[in-house]
Amino acid sequence: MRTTLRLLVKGLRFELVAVILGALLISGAALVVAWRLDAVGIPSDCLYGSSTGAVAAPVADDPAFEAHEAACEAKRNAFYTLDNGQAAPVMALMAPFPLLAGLLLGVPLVGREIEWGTASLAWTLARSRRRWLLARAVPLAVVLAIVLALPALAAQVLEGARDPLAHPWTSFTDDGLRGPILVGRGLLTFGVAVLVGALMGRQLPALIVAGVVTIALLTAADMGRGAIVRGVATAVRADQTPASGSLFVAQAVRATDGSLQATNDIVIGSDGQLPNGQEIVTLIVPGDKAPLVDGTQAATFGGLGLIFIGLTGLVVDRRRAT
Amino acid sequence: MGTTLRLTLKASRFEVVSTLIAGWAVALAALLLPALVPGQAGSEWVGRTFAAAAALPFLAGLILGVPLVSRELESGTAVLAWTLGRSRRRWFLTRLSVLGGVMIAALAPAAAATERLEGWQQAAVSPGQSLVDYGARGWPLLGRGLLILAVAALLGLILGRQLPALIVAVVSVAIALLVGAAIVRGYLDGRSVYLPMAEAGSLSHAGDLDTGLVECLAPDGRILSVESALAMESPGTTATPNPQGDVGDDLCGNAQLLAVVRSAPGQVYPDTQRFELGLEAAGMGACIGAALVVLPVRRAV
Repeated sequence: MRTTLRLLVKGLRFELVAVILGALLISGAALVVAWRLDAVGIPSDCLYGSSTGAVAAPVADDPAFEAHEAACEAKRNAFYTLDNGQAAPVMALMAPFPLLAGLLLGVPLVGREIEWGTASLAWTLARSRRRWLLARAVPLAVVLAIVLALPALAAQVLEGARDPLAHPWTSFTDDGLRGPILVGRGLLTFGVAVLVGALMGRQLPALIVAGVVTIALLTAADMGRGAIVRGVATAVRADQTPASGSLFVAQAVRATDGSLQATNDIVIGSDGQLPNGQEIVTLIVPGDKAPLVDGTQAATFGGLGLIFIGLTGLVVDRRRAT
Repeated sequence: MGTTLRLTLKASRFEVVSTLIAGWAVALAALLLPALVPGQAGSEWVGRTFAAAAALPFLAGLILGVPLVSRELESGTAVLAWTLGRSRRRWFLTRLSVLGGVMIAALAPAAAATERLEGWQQAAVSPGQSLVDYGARGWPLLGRGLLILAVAALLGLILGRQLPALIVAVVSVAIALLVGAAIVRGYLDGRSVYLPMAEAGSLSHAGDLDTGLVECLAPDGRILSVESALAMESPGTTATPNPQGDVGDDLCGNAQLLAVVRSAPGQVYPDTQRFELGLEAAGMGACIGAALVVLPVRRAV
């Protein structure tokens, strides 16, 4: 086992070092930007956030409002300049990173051995090809999960600094760019990359195909997620500003019996009003559902990654070694 | 020559086919979009097509360039190829030319079609006189693709392993593109002029590229930031209005000051294109030169 691990690390040292360095850099950047945002010390009532209740439109001529706005201006400028100029780009980097990490570690795991012609020796020496695969894939998947946990947690800290009105663990803001989903996405990509590498037996073609397949899977998962969150959404009055961290799903019309209709299905009366006490509502998913939604998605991705590794076992069993 | 061509295309058939499909798909999308998806949905797809066109040289250059030498080194076939070949340099240049030809075949239709798409999107201004969507259309796409091909081939030659070379190439090319974008931005800055705000958005300046930063032009020709202009404002001052009028909706807080934006005129597009292509040709030449220096001294394994 120790020899397998040593050989694994030696064979993939460049990719491992690149992924670990990338994770450290991206996490460090997130933490530094979070610290800089915190250092601005913006009062929560100066944030362009929202309250939990109905919000009255500010009266521009109100002297108290104008004084409050003037007092907020400097901190607000500093905070949102940092947020747009530094926090948003760092957060955006969180999206492709798990994909790249999964591809770089997954593709060569079997694909390189086949391409280099070393698979025949390794498979002959190993007691079983499946055991050979598991002894390499499982430790690497664990390492990948640990490495991806760094940017996942750092992005949570950054999100906490970007939106101090909501707790990052119970918020949908910047969802998919932080937290356990990053780890799940990385494991899914890793599983796909290992399988495609084993099927194609050439690294660069496998990298291209695995990238395309993973993006297609993640797009399909996003569409499926849209349908799931619609199922758990709750309706709030359109004039009520949802709490920060809530996920906006859609606008709908609520009839007097409580049933909901799509806004394009309604007929507006000649007076421009909705008929019979109907009202426009906003469908949202409150932020406290985020751990459930994100956790389920991350677990699904991770599980799919494991399934793909299992499928690779079948491929490796039957595949020619060259 | 025929054998080299056949072997190069055979060894890189997957990468060649992927690049051609991607390039022709972008070209086809750019040509067919105006007819297939009109209206608002169409403009969303136009944005996606330009984004795909901007990413195309990056991906094509990397996947064609990285394995050019590194695959031979990694699989141990370079020893045979370099022993059989008359000269390593000729072997390299022939293969690079073949893949350069593939790159041209993939990107030239996309470059031409995206220019046409821009013309459809901005009907009021000729795409050849407009800086809108600069970097996502036209011949710089091809220049960028060829430059990235050369960078990736050089790194593949130096590192001799495909995935490590790919990682280093992604980072190097990203840095090179950022530096290139800054140089082009500097070139455009040198040709920029200050325009009154109302003119900046007008039809006659539809092809211009402005910085989006509003500044204030004083009657004596000085340019002030909005903050300093507002700080100058003192209550009760009766200033003579600027003859051109303050079109910045009182942004500068003083009738004597004119709100302006710095804007590069669309007419400099052909010159900018030539400047960028020149930069890319120089970069490509440097990479190929470096590769030709490294090749004879490189171990074949």
